[in-house]
Amino acid sequence: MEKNIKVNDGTVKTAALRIKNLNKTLGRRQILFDINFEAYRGEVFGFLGPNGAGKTTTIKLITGLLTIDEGSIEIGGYNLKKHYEKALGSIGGIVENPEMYKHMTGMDNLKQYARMRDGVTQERIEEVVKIVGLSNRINEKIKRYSLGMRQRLGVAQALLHRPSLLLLDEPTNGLDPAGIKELRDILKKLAHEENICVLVSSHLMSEMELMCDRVGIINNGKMVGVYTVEEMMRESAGDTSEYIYNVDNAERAAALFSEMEYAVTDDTHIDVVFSGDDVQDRLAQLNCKLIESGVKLYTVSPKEKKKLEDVFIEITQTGGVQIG
Amino acid sequence: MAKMHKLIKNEYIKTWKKVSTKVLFILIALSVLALMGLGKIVQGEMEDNFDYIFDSSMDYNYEINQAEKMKYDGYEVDIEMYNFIMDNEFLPGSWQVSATRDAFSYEVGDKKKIEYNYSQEDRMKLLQCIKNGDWKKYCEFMLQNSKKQGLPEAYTWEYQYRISKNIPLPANTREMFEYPNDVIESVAAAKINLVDSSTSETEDSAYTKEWKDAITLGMYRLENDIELNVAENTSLLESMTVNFWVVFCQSASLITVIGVLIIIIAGSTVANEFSNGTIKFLLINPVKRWKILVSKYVMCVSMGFLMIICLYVLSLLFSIIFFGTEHLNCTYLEVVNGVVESKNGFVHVFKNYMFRSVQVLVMSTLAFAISSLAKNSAMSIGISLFAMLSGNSIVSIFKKELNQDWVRYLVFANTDFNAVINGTSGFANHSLSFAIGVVAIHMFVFFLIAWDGFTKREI
Repeated sequence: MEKNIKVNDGTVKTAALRIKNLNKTLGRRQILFDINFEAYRGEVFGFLGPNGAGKTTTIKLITGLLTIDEGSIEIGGYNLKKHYEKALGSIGGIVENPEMYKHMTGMDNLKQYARMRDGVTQERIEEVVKIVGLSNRINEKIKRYSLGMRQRLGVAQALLHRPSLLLLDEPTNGLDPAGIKELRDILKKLAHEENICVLVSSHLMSEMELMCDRVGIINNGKMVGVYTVEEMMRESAGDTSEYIYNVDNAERAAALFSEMEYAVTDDTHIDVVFSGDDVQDRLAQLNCKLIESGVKLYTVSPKEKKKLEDVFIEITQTGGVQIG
Repeated sequence: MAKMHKLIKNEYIKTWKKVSTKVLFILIALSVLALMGLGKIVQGEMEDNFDYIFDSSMDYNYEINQAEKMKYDGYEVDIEMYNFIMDNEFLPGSWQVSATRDAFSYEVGDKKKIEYNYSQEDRMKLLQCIKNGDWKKYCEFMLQNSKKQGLPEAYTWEYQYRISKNIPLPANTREMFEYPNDVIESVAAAKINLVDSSTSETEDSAYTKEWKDAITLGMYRLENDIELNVAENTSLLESMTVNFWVVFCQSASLITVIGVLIIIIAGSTVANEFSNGTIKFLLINPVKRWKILVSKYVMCVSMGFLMIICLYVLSLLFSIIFFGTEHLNCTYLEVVNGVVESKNGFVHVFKNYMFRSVQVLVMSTLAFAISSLAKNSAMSIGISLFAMLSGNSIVSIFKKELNQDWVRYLVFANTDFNAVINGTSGFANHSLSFAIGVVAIHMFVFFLIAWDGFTKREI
């Protein structure tokens, strides 16, 4: 059922999730407007948006917790409306907080979910417990678990039946920095090595930058766009490169650069802005000229790139920029 | 459907692992123990005060004083009678007491002349028999006397029967209420009633049938020497004694306790998933929502029946422990279409359990429906408990006080199948199929509400 799709960059990918023209109204308020995007197996897809943008509503629609008003959702090639059980069979997920049956042990809880899904053996349960690092505490009651431990159990629950689409709503909530890093590694590994599509929603951009291959940005219920992380970085920085020159005679160097028609953004530090593709060659040429003219050249360093955080704020605040 | 049993298993595990569920089962055991305790107390009271409870006219000195004070016509005869009883130390409830009363019976004739009902010669004979305690001679005398007066067979049957079977008259109150005296007494009374009513103008067919059945049943017991009929030992309040069958039959009333407990479970099974936030993890699974709803409902209903079976077994066990195995092989005798039918007592009690569980089933379905609609366990438990405990009284108030017949269409008027079958439901032409129909429609509506509330809900 899964269709292979040729993506812009030429590689062939399998769509684990395909959302088309999704609309949703809750009460009198329309929450989602014509959402369209696809997520592929083998990637970590970041679903980004500020609070109240519609991330959780979208995830609830994908998991069948909310009913679809308009549009369609396909999971692993199965239409959610027409083949509810088959479509949900390839999803594993955590929606909002990882609340489980507190009066039961972690293992009892996992067994509950195992019974509702196909082909989950006791060995598989133990395997996922190991993956999330809960082996020592799995036979304790959930009421003694910390939020981080419950989050791990939630991930274990989501992985039980080897889903092709893993949906995690704000998964780093309540995790300590070490836990966040561990989770990030687990998710990357699942996506890249086990060919799962991992969809992670978050409002923490710095998190996503380190974890995601592609990012879909949603704002006020509308899809702003889907980008690869590199795309976003490059495009948000423009098609120019900036370098910082550390020299003994800044004025002279600046004059020289201006003569050669390179943009200089700052007279005292001398930031030189390049545009075009042959940056490396022209950089070498420029350095040569500078030394020939007797200016002492101490260091040349590329200016630090913008963080995804800044890009995100820029995008969501201006109502979206066209990239690529 | 392979998945269905796994879903039900899940629901059972979830419910069973709660401490509160275990407490509920302990409560069932405690309520059975409480019933046994109550049975023992009533039994003790009856042992200690049997004569006091069933024969209050024991204080003859007091009676004599009263008679002397009031000096009514013929008081001297009464005093003589009381003295006769006291002098011979007849036990209360013994045949001698009633026979003495009979021998001293009189009428006040013209000029306040005392006229005994028996001739002087007969009285002397009678008192001699009584004094000697010769019940056989007494019976023979009564038999001849009745024949002499031309009374119908009904009046002489008891004496004839006792003489032919050599069954003495009761020697004290206790014997009066024991087999076979109680049976002989009831047959004789029914026979006399039947004869009397046939001569009177107002003949009531319902009573006639009742008396005829009483005679048939009584004769059956006497012929087969059946000491105890389970049908006469079904309630702590109505039975003359407390034995195994009384408490075991009475245990059916504890089904109400189970009703309360199962409403608590049914009213919280859906609502708690919402209030604990676990509903999202439940519904994210590749299982259609209606399947989860059905599995929860099946769990509630089967848990209820499990509790009922638990109650049955515990009651049986404790009844045996507290009241012995003496009457275990007694049967439930009933006259159906003029023929005595002998039924198994255990089956009868179980049938009674099942009849009573109808109300529990309906009310737990109501709790389940409200719980899936309102996501609030307190509300669903509260409403359903109120409905279960006061529904019957509300219906009877509407029917009896306000004469509103439409309340027959309410579910509360139809859950007591026993009353409907026996025609004691309070409604005219109340058939069992009507009751089953009303209950089924209500159940269907409740379940539809639950279905709609659960499968279409946005979470």
